[in-house]
Parts: sequence; C-alpha cells; structure tokens
Amino acid sequence: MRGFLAILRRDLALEARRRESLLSMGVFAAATLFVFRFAFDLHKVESVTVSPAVLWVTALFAATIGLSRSFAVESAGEVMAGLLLAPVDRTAIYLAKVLSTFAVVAVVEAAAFLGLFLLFDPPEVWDPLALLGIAWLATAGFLGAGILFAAMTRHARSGGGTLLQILLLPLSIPLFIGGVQTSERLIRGLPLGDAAKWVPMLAAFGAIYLALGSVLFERVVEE
Amino acid sequence: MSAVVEARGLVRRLGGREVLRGVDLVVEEGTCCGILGPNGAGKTTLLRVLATLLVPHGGRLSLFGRSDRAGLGAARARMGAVLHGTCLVGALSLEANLLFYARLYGVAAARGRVEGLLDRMGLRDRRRDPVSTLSRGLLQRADLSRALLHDPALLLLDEPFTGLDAGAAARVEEILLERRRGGTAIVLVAHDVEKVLRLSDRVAVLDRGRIGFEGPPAEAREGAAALAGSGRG
Repeated sequence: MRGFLAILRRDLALEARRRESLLSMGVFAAATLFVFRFAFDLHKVESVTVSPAVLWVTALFAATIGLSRSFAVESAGEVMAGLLLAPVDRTAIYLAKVLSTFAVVAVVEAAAFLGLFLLFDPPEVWDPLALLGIAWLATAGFLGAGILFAAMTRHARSGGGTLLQILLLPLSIPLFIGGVQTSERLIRGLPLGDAAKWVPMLAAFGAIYLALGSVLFERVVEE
Repeated sequence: MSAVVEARGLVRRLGGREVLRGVDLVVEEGTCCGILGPNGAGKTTLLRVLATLLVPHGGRLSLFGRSDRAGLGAARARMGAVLHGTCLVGALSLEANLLFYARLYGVAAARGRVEGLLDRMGLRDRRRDPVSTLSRGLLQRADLSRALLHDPALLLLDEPFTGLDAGAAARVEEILLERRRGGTAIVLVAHDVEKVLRLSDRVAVLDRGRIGFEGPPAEAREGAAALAGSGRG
C-alpha cells in the first residue's frame, strides 16, 4: 500500500505540475469532436445517431494517448529500475499506474462529454452521469489491459505506440461495443432495456483485465 | 562473517549472446568486492543480476542467505544500488525525489534522513532544484544519496565516481569506507583501478563473462596484467 500511494502521489503531482498528458489528450479530444461536428450535417443526420460513435472514438483515442504516456517518466534514465529495485510489490506499481492514468483520462472524458453536449446538442433527456459512469467503467477495463501492454512495449525504440495499439485494440472491442450500445440508449433518454446486460459485462471485462494485469505485470517488467 | 552475496555459476544471455558464463562470487558483510574488467566483460550485467533487475538464465544467486524468489524480493529492502543512469525523475526537485524513495522504502523520519544525506553529500543548496538541472557530478552524488537513504546492508555500485571532482570523489570514498566498517557489503564496479584497489578487500577481474582472476588487491594488478598479457583482458 505504501508503494502504491507513493507512486500514485508522485505521478499525479507530476501531471498536476506539467499537465502534459492532460493537454495532449484534451487537444486531441477537442480536435476529434470538431472534425466530427463539421463532418456531419446535423440537419440531415440525427445527433443521437452519431453521438455514441463520436463519443467512443474520442474516448478510445484519447485514452490511447494517455496510455502511450503512462510510462514516460520511467522511460528516462534508470527511473523504472529505481522502482523495481525498491521493496514494492509489482502489483502495486501496476495498480498505481492504472489509477494515475485513469484519473487523467477520466477528466478528459468528462470534458469530452461536455464538448459533445455543446457541439452535437443531443436531446435534453439524456442522463450524463450514467453515461459518464459507463464510460469510466469501460475505461477502467481498457487501462487495465493497456497499462500491461504499455509496460511491455516501453522498451521499443520505435513503433512502440503502434505495437501497443495492435495488441490492445482487439481486446478493447467488447468494451467499446458495450459502451456504444449502452450510451446510445442513454443519449436517446431511454431506459437501458436490453442494453442493460452490457453493464455487468463491462464490469466483468474490467475485472478480468485488471486481475490479469495484476498477475502478469511482474512477468512483463522482469528481464 | 556471513555471506551477503553468494553467486554460483551465474549465466545470463542478452540478445542471444552469453554475457555471463558461469560467474562465481561471494561477498561477505563488512567487505568490499571490486569488479574490474575491460568494456564488454559483463561487469554491468553482473551488477544488474545481483540487483535482481536481470534474472539469471543459469546458476544460483543467493542474497542474505536466500535464493528463492520471495527471498530475493525481500532482499531489495536491504539493498541500495547506483546504476549507470540516474533513478531520479528530472522534473522533480532533488528533495522531492529523495522523499519519494524514502516513502517507497518506508524510511522513518524521512525528512530528517534526506536532509542529513543532502548535507553529507554537499547538496543542500540544490535541494529545491529540478534534478534535470544538476550537472553529471551532482547527479551522481544525488543518486548515491538515494541509494543510501534506507541504510542498506548491501551496496551495489556501478561506476559511482563518474563525473565527480576530486573533492567529491574523496567524500564518496570516505562514505564507502565508513559504510564498510559499519558492516555493509559493497560490490564496486569501476574503471578506476586505483580506487577499486584502495577500497576493496577482494578484487575480481571479469574477462568475457567469466571471473579470470580473484584475490586480494595486492595481487589484483598482476592478475589483471596477466589476463591482458594472455590476450584475454
């Protein structure tokens, strides 16, 4: 717990000071929303039809940027070795990285939702809090798998980002299908209905990815 | 005296090449073992294996009498290491970095310990500066402070004198001798033969992944020369 809190505190303090991940993800999310807004003529296409896809594409790629920066601090010098030399359980390092990355991605997603609301003007009956909850649930699973792959690809001198995406995106498909299905209902202001089954599935995928990441992280960082 | 480090037949491959080819090494508490050898002999790889950063592909490593996975993990709490690069985060101040590591190691009264080490290393004036602004020599002193934070019983040092001026090098030597007298086992990898001979109780000369010579410092110079003379050093 001591190591987990120390790493989490350090990473959040660094991000609060430099805002590098927040800015790169935020700018990307804003640009994506604007591109989609001008790509769709909302007089011809219903905003509720395109909003879920816009939302999840924005969240997916912003989170991928967050992941690619998750080990930026450790990639310099022997900072990662410094962590591994310390008497800290490797699972604690993994969970601290997941949570510190999640904190930044969650803020960007909340801002992206606000941007979606402003640019796409979906019906007023939607439930933004439930929508954000679903997004964060899917994001936790995405980062659970993603931090593991980010640690795995951190040594790649070139093409590490590509490798990360190739490994991660196929695993993320169930998370994003669930996300799109549920958010479409919520944006339309409808009860979840059949889509409600995706909520426990998102939680289950998240739990599986986090459990696998906790177990496998030690093997991944071991050389 | 009990053996803090006991390595038997260590083998480690990197990129398909066998870098360590059956290294035997014993380091007892309160002693310093100097490791000499030409570039590419495997000194840094050996140090990283001893630090548990690299897993050996063969042989057996025992730290503080334990060679099982849990035992090697537990040894990290009693081990301090200075590696080739810095373990400190460039964007954070020197003090913030040391306090971070003090938290990781569960150091009691961390702030006092950090201040004491900064004083000892002559770094107090720079404690609020981001690590990225420190010179190579200051960074080396800062990294050594980090390695000493938790009062380790085993110190693994890879070229700890790099970038240090004469005064700082003398200060570091003094600290190492003091630690050794206090019972700390030290493994010292360096190119500076004179410093290694001066600080070590035993010297091992690594030659293409094997210990080519091991003995007291007085004989080490001859041993290293003999290896070089045979075209293997």
